[in-house]
Amino acid sequence: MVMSMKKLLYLFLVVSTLIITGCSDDDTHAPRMGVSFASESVNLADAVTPVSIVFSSGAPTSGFVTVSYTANNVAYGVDFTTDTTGEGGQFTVPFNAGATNIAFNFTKLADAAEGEVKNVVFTIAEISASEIEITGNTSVQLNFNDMPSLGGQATPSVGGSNQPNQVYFDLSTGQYTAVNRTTWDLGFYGGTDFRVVINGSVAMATKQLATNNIDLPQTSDPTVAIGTFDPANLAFVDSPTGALTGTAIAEISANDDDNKVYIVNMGYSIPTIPAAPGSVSVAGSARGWKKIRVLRNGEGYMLQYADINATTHNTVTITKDQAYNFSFFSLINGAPVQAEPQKAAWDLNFTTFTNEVFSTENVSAGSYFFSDFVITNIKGGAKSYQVPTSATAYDNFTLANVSEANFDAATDQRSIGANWRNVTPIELYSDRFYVIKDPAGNVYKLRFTSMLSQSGERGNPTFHYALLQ
Amino acid sequence: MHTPTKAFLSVLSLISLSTLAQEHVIDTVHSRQLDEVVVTGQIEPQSLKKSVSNVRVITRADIDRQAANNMADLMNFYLNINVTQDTGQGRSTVSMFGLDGQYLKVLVDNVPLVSDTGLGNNIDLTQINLDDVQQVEIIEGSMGVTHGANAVSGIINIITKKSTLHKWEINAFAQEETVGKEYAAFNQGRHIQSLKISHNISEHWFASIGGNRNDFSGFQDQRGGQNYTTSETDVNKQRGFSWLPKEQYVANAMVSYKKNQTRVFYKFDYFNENIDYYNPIISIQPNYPFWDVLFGNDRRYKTERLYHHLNASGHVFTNQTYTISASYQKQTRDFEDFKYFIEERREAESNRLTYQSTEVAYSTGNIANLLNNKKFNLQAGYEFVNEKGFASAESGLFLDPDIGASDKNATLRNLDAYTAAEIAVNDRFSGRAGLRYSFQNKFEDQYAASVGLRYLFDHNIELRSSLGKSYRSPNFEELYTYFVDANHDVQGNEDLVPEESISVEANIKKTTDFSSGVKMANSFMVTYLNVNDRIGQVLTDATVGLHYKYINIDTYKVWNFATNHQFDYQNLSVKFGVAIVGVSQNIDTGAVTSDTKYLFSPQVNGTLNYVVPKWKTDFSVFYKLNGRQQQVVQTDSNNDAVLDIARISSFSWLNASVRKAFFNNRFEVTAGARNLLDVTNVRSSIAQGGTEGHGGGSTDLPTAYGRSYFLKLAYNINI
Repeated sequence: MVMSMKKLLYLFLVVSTLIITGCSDDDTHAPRMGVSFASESVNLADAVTPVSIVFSSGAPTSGFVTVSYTANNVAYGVDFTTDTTGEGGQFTVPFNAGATNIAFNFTKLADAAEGEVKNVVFTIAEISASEIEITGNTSVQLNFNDMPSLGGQATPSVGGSNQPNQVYFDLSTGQYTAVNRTTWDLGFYGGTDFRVVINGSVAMATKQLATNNIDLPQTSDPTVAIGTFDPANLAFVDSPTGALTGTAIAEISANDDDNKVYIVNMGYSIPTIPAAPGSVSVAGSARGWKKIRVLRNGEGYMLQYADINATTHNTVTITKDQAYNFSFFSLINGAPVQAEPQKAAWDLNFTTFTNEVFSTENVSAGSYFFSDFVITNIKGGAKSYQVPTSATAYDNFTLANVSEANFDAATDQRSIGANWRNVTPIELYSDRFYVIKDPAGNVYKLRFTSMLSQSGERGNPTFHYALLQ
Repeated sequence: MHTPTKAFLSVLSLISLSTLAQEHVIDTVHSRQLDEVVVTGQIEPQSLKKSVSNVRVITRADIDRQAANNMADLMNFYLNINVTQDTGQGRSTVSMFGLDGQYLKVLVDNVPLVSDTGLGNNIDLTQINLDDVQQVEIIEGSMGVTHGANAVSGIINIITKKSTLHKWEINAFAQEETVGKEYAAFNQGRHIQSLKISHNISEHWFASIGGNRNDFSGFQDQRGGQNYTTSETDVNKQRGFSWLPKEQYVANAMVSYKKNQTRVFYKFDYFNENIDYYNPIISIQPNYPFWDVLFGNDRRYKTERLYHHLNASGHVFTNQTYTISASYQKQTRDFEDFKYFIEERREAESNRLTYQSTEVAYSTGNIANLLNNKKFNLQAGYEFVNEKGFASAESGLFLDPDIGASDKNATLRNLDAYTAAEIAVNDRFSGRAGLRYSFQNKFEDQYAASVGLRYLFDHNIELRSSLGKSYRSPNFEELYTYFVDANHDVQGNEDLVPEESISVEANIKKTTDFSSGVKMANSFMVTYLNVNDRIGQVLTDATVGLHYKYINIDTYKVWNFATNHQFDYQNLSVKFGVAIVGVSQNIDTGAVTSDTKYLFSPQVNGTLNYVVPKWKTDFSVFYKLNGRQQQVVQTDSNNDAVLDIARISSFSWLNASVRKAFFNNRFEVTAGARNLLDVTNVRSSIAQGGTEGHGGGSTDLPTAYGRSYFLKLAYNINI
């Protein structure tokens, strides 16, 4: 009896030990620490510009960073100075323990004339704390003239899971312009052709009627919509490729009789209730129906528009502006509106989008509403193509790898499109990146680094880009 | 895989033929071994032979021979039952006759067991621990009269131990298993520990407590595990596990009181499970201008179950017996989402929410032998169910663009009255008829009916036939889904009615004892099961967009032909069976209608057990062939929907074990191998498991993780 109890106790101890030791946790690793310039290049707009050096996490000890510089067509003390004396070609910047951001001031003493190439390149040569790696932007170029950005990180403000904005991004300046998707309804082409586009970012659709009498009351047609899984509905939307010849509204004819009335499904409003993490909610209540008829007005347009069942109409004239792809008009507000920046001042547009969907390979299921879309400004002269990392890694891709043939073949505005991400499951593809040539001829490489915010909300893209030179 | 199957079959048939050839038949009372006592579907516990319904029994010895720790370990070897793995969420569910877990009712001591989404149905078999189990009883067919809703394809009733022979019984064991080829002391393989203490306090009082830990470290397979980031050499290698790591704790306690004919017991069960999901997609946290910070959006699935059961039984008046049960059960499934920063081995931004829960108040009771007549045993009973279900907005099923995603709560309540009568016309002939009427708060009132007949012929031939009716209540998804946006329109339907089923079964069994001591039992069975008003997702409008709605529309018909054979000679016992199941489905998607031809799939099983009493050693082999299965699947959810037949390749399970007792049975060692034929993924001719409209899916169905070995050391003290 005593024997058995002892044996039992022994076994019990063995079992308990197994349980306890089975629960031990993995140990944590020492975090990586780094130091870098905050940006790759800066165009010097002001007389005094702070140059930031950042730490990935608070500096573990106090110490100093040694910065060296190379001056191109400028001289220290003549064209520029720094607030820590650096006549010898290098200087030190001290930091305290816990510092995340330190800076020195760069003072421009003389402006450059137009066309001159004058700049100073600062490099982090050394850091007193050896556990901190010199990484990221190990140097920064300060330009005396405006030069195309060398790149960096961008977070276009698409606006979260309702994706309320169309965001136009200009790589060479790093500038973006956010425009609410419902701002505009029709875009009138500013080039030689007479073409009118509808707003695919709110899922609009339009159908030509047989009549050219705008004052006949009309009724809505439920087949004139997107996402009906009917390949025939592609006729009611602008060609997703961006080709002007594929607009839903026929070319505006010089002969007024040829310009028919169109009924217009105004698509969906922007919802206000955010979607669950990882999801989007981009189509709210229906925006109703209108009817329109567009005529030429000399070198411009004349728009007739009304509610769908109205017996009278409004008329407005719209002039072409060659500096822009389109002149925009809001049917809801009955007023011309500003939407896109000038056509040479943007390269990429982050937007919701009316695309074509395929049920199986090469079998069209008609138009389908996409989120997280990226359009390349092919009308303005930008071009882009996709590179698989299996061909070249992003970090190794240089100007020598750029294919002009691929640019020549890039006639579709969707070469980035939705190809950069997946939705089931939510996944940012890390096996591909993009090469973009802007209208001025600057070539950038670009890779997406996030499609969600830190709290998991969709509609928060982040990307890195770098000038190839 | 084909050759071992054939070899095994020929060995079995040789054994049976030689037995038949050598012996001549005499009639005797057959052995105790072949006549187990069953309770499921009975008015009172009685012998299997007397039972009007056809009950299959899995004994404690069968469980021990397989060193089965949970129901999923056990059910693989039974005909018409298939265990399906959801490796994405770490669940194992059971299907019978090809109908999923929603159609099969799982009970513990005659009380349906709560699951994430219901009562008695959709049970995750890995969540049922077997330490406390006396035997498992299985009845095929619609058992609506005795077991109410969702007992469509059959029932599994788990009978727990309620007493011990000794004053004290203490059982402890530790079990170590490999997971395929993966095993390490703590972080690979499967590790089980258990302790149970039972005590007869007095002549009247009994108590027991127990605990079990089951630590499954996951099956990494070709994947990289938790801390994997990238590989230069293998770009297709993914982070995480093929089978998710899972850790379970079970605690239970029981007190019972017994005096004269009166017996009262209270049983408490607590279950806790943690499943770790490591996202194969590695996300980047922008960290400009520094390196990318890599993290996984990982998740823990945390399940908790509480089970209380109070039961009293005894005699009222003179010969009337009663039994009454009250039970409260709750199961909650939580998601704990967090970011795991891979390089730093750090977790952050943890967020826990309840994804699903079911809370049940339940009571059932009956009085038997109401007329105090030996030939006419009339039983009347009731069942009350109050089931509170919850599904979180996170499921994404209840999505209205104008009001956003919302949580869903619903209460299903029913009060049923039922009566059953067993008529013993004479010793040979008895019959049974039953009726149940169910008052429901959510659906139309339902009823179920059953008739059963049993006739004992000479030469120990037993003939049974039965007819049963049951119904399946619509689930949350079918009732309340609302998923509408610019491109989708899928809606639930609150007007759905329960699906109805009818089953008919005929069964003939002959038991024979030979003068040499050979005992033999042979049976043949035919079953027909018909499920009407099956709920399907139907394309209701395709003129403008695709509108889907859940509708009572489809039918499902099953023919099952099965034979079972058992031979016992001295210390050798051999069982084998063959089943051929044909399923005909009428599926109407609104766009296309399925072919209704019967698709047949065969199954074969066998067990061989040999005991060497001198060595106190028990050798066992378990085998099952799952023949090629054919299933109707929809291969395209857009306007060109096609219903195709997916063919799932045949595969076989083979386990073998040796159990030996030492030191006066105090110490027991079981060693063995599971899945000796090394099954991993089974091929399907058509990719399955994709999401609607977005493709995906795979032609490789994860079925098992390959050959694995176990060793169990048990220590028993009986005082």
